[in-house]
Amino acid sequence: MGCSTSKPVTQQQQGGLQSLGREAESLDLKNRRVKLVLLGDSGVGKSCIVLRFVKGQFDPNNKVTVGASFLSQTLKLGESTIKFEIWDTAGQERYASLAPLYYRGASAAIVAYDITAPESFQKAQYWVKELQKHGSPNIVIALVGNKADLADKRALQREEAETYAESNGMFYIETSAKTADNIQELFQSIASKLPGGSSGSAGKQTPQPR
Amino acid sequence: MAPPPLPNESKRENGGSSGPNTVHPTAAAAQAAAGAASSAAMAGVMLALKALKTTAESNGGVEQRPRRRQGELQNRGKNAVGEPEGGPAAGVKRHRKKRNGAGQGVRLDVPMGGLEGPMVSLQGGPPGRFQSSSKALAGLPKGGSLEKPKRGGGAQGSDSGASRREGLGLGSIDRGEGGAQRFDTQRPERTDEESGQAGSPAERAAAPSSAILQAPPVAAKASSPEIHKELGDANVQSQRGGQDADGVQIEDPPGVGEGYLGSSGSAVEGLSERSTSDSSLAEARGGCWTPGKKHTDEDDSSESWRKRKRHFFILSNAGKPIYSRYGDEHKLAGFSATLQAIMSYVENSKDTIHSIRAGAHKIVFMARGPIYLVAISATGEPESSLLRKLDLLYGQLISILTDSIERTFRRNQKFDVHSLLGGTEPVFASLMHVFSWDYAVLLRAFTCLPLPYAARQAAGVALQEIASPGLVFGLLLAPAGKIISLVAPRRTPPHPDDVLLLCNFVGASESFRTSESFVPLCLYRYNPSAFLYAYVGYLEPEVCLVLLTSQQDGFFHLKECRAHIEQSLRITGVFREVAAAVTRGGLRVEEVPSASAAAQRRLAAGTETGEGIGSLPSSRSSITASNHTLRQKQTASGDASTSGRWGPGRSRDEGLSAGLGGPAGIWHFLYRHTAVDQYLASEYSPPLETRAAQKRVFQTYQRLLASMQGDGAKSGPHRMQYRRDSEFVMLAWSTSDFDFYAVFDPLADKDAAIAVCNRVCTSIRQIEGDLFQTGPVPLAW
Repeated sequence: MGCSTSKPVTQQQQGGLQSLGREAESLDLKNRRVKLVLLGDSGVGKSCIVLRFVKGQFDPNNKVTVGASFLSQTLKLGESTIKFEIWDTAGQERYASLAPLYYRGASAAIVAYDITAPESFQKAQYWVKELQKHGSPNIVIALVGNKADLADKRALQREEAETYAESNGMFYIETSAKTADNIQELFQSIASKLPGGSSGSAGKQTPQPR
Repeated sequence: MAPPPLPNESKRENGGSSGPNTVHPTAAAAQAAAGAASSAAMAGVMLALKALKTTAESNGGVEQRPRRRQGELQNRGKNAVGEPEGGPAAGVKRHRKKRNGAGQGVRLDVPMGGLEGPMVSLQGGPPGRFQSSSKALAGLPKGGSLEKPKRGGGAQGSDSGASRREGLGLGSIDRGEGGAQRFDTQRPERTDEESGQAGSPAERAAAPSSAILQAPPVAAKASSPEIHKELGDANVQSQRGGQDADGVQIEDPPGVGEGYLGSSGSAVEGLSERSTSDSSLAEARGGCWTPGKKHTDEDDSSESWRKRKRHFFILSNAGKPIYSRYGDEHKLAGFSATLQAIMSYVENSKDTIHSIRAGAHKIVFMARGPIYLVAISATGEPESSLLRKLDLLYGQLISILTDSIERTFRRNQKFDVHSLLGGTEPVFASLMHVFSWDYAVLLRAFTCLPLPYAARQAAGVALQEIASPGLVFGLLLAPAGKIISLVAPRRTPPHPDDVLLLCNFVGASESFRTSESFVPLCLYRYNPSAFLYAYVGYLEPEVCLVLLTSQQDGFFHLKECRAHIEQSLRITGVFREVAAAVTRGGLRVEEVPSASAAAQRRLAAGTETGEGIGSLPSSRSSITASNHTLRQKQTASGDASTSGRWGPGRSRDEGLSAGLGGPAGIWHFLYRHTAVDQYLASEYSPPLETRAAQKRVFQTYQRLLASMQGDGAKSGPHRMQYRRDSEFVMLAWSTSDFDFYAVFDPLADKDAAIAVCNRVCTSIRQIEGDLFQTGPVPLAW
């Protein structure tokens, strides 16, 4: 994977990686900034999730993400705000070797798959392993089954994903960027689970993904 | 030296004629059969493969050239076409035979002049064994349709070849030298289309023949004194155009561009749609072109796939498909293997295959390390132009993967690169579009958005202010790949090809429009081995900022730079200027300054003249307003009443084009500023408002440029050409400062045309600062 990209990456890996995450968390608990990365196979709808969250839009035309896109969105959580600085990475294989650039130092990650595409779930598991190995120790990982609106084409049962998420200390949620279903909830859950966040209470306010 | 280039040219370009040109009788047979298959593209390749196996006997179909690493292009040019066609005396130039292992692969280059003899043997056009196989493959060769090129009865008999495109319902115009012309008037599309534009159909029909009959001995020496004035003694080495029939065979009839469904569909669209010329450029650049790969359901067994007129393939030297313009790469594995077999068959004998002709199809090969690139074209475009496109295609591949892909291949031959290219379909599809429409491909230059000098300076300064060590290039892009400003370190000016591929990559990737992005990208002329990292963000819907850094972690720094740049561009009003410039478009031929002294004299009789020249245009108030700065500058730099003024002021009497186009019937021009590697293309104006017409112009330029650059004439580069065919009068003029190419109405008067070119060039130079990015400031770092 990413064979071609690997060379230059290693050439230029001069300690710069951390600085992408330099603004990951500010100490101000009221107005925190959180670095969040989206990972997953191509075509599962990562960009759609972000655009729905950030801009409230959904574009059915499939626009392939190139490299990585950067967006930010502030979420109100009780009295404090959390500014998500989101790296929406491209799912293509050739960019895989660049992923560390984006997940290094991230305090939250969304690993997305497409509930109608089993192979994307395999890829999600790959990313989870990758994050466990190389990501921040306390990273909050959300396993997201996207395209929940295509329930009739569902190829992966919820239980399977839930079990997997539980056994890996993640939380699981099914979303639909198309119908905006559970998108806000996804980010609120992440916010509430972040260390130092308005922990318990906020987490319980969040509608449980069911 | 300098034999008239034309017949050569036509010979070269006449895809169909190569067969008959081949001398060897058996080769002729093979070629004849291959020609028969011309209507089915891929059949040609299949044939070629078979031909390869049999070339030992037939000595024909495959061109092989001595392997040379350096200077391949020149060699190609000479080897392929370098024969003097000056007269019948020009003999057969036989390339040295290379006896390879099997004794195969002899190449015969047949000059025009050598046609007569072989023709006889061809006359019979004995359908050899290929005939049947071609039928089997193609299904519709129309009995080979081997029209005998000996027609025309010209004394010199150097007719450029058989037109055997009947299978496709295309006609072609062949013209020999010295009056041995011939018309195939099976060009329904063209007639339909153009009759409406240029007077009555009858008049139109008369036009081409009169054009030919006129076919004046054109020699730049004998041409307008103005040019001499202009150039002084600047060694105007015009070729002796006098003997030229000034005809180029029009290979690609209107309405049938490359692309069988895709493009001809758009051509039809173009015919029915009388778009305003304002929108025509946008249209040409992507208006009715939809991004993304099309026809992915096809493969080499599809009739439609075979009929497509221009294919491009990338494959590995193991025969694995990497990219195909049409069809699904996976389904084309067999076809790729065929191409690979052809190439490695020749390589095994320590040689390199360059091209194959199969009827109307030209198959051009290029090997770049373990990557093979193949173009198959029935559009009749010169080989040099196909090679150029293959090179760019390779560059685009490298821009996405870097050349480390080659190392990967060396380690693992079976590596599947195709999977690494996921999501890049729009980039390649857009590149294919660029190949057919973007003059940057032909001119090896980039183009700037015409912008008041001050605005461009301000943009340059804004980019310059963010200079920092890691930053390699900064680029402000307007739609259609036009540059607003470009900054680069002093010592490494950007290569036009890199700019072209970068613009294509950025323009084709829709996701950049939605958010800021950070993308690894390789500039293959800058450094093919390493990625740069590009910050891409749209400051305005029409202004895209691209900053390239060598630092992988440079995103946040560049994000700050963006804010800075955005602010200073807003303060200096650059966005406003850009918006106005985008609306205004580029220079228009109908606004060519029409008040040179000579023109005035000529126009004196005209009644509308005085009004036009003296007054500022009123009918186009918006354009006038936005052109204000341009005009000011013109006024400052020259006598406003005599020159330098771009405005709709010309008289209808001046041209012979029934009111279409610019003065003296100028329809379009290209101007390439040599020192800065930038070009300027005029907007398409009537009668070039249809896509079909624009495509013909593009292809005409393509041939014209190839012939200027010595591709098609032994004499090498030319300084000046004036030629005429049934559709256009073409003028090319190359000086040390600039290259100028123009197409005119086919009935244009030569002296008037040359005078207009002089005026255009002079006035462009007067407002150079607005049209090009010049001056030291933006390019310093």
